[in-house]
Amino acid sequence: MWNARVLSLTSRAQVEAEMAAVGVDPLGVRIMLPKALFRVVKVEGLPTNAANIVKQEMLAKGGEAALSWAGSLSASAKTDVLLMGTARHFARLVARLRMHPFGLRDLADELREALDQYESPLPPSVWRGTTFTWGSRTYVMGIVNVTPDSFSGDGLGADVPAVVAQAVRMVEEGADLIDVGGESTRPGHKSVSVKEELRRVLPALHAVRQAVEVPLSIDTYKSEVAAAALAAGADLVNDIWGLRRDPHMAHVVAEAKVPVILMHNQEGTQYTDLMADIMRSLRESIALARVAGIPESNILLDPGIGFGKRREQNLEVLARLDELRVLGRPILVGTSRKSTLGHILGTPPDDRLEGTAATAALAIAKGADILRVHDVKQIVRVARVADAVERGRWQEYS
Amino acid sequence: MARVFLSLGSNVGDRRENLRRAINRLRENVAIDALSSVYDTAPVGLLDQPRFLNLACAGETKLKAHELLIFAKGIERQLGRLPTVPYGPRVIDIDILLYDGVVVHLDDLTIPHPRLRERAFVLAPLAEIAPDAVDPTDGRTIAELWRALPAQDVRPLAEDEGRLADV
Repeated sequence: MWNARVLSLTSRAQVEAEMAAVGVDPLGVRIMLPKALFRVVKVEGLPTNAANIVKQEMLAKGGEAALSWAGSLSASAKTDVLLMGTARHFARLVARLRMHPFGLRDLADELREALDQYESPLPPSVWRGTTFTWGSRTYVMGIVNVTPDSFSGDGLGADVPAVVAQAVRMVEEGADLIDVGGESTRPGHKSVSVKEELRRVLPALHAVRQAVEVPLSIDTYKSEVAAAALAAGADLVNDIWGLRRDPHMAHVVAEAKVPVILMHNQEGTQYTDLMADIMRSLRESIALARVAGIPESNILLDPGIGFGKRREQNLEVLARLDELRVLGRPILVGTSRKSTLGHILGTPPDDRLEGTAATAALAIAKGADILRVHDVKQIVRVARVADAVERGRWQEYS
Repeated sequence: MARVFLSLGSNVGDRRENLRRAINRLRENVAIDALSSVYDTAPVGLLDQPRFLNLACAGETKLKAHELLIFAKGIERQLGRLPTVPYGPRVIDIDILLYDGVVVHLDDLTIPHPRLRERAFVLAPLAEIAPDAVDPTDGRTIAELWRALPAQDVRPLAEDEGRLADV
């Protein structure tokens, strides 16, 4: 028997290792690597004439393109297109499309950028003297709530010594970053004034800054709060509205030259196509950052699980998290103690640790770079084990 | 490309120079093809402050409406690093009046601009360069809106000083 097997290969590195194991010569590896990984890429709203050209070209290169049956009958209509092929097929398609009119040059550039960013490792980031080597391991962000009314029951209000003790404990337990927030963001909660938010956040930030060395982020969508927090020692901004709520926020971030986490969020839970809409919205937030002069290297993305999404939508985002890699930025995921877990388990927020752990492990398998959690000690352990499986990082922990 | 109409105002420092610098900065992302005269206008809301100089401009831009808002706020911040209060004194104020005939209702952006229909310091310069532009909320033209407005203390500067140099 020949022991035929289907291999579990999703990355170039894995294919390269298998080819090396077979004894393929280096030139052969270079030629065959782009043929080993198959991708399906979706593009939206292509004019039918352009879509038909794309289909012909992709077929000619050995790939395939699926378009709307109705759209193909009407000369004026538009259609979404599913492009199917190997990296080799896509490279040849892109080269060919660049020679066509109808905006196909733009499509070619967008395809190439999407595939490049999906495949390429991210360059490391250095924040506050700490190097974050994306892809090498999962980083954990500890949540410090200085609200009197946090959904997860962990709000510390104005008790600054308790806030400091919690932050110090989280760092001892392995937190790589601490996120300080002064406004509860649970669905339906009413917002607090800038003055009140500053009153809660600034003393806590000052004190935590003295006590821990890890980067601190300020969880706010208000530019005045962000500016004051950065002056008080915060190192990055975590904006749950992705620069959309306050037109000065992008400028505060740009002027301070700090990283910003852009989260997807929306009013209501209506979507045309969940992942497509989230990706489009995140791309819009990235464009807002660009207008203000925030360098792309200072952007992190968060799909906003639990924000503007129903239960099944939150689960779909988690299951398809790896699709966000096309955006080419580190991905932060927050599922900690959220209501979707409560719906599944039938438990209150302070009894959702296992649910948080399950989603943490799955998020890591789907490419998450940072997990934002309440239970640092436990989730750091989850991340170490998941990293050992997913990223082959076991030696340093043994 | 989107066609946009903007309103600019200044009542602090060298007001004419502020307008000139703001227009030049806007050109980084807006191909401005129409510029109104400069109008001398009385403050509205907070009355105890200097008079404003206002103008309107029109042009084409690749920026989305929200991107244009953030771009404009950046110019305001860079030209006038002063804390501002609503209707208070400002080095430069840039408002998006109309954007490609669309209606936008976001938390931080409303198009057409909510003051479009009620403020002569906005409508007078706009009516000069775009009388036939349409308010997409009710289909009325800028000329109609302007005629419907009660008289307000807004006067175009004389021809020789009513144009900005070098813009």
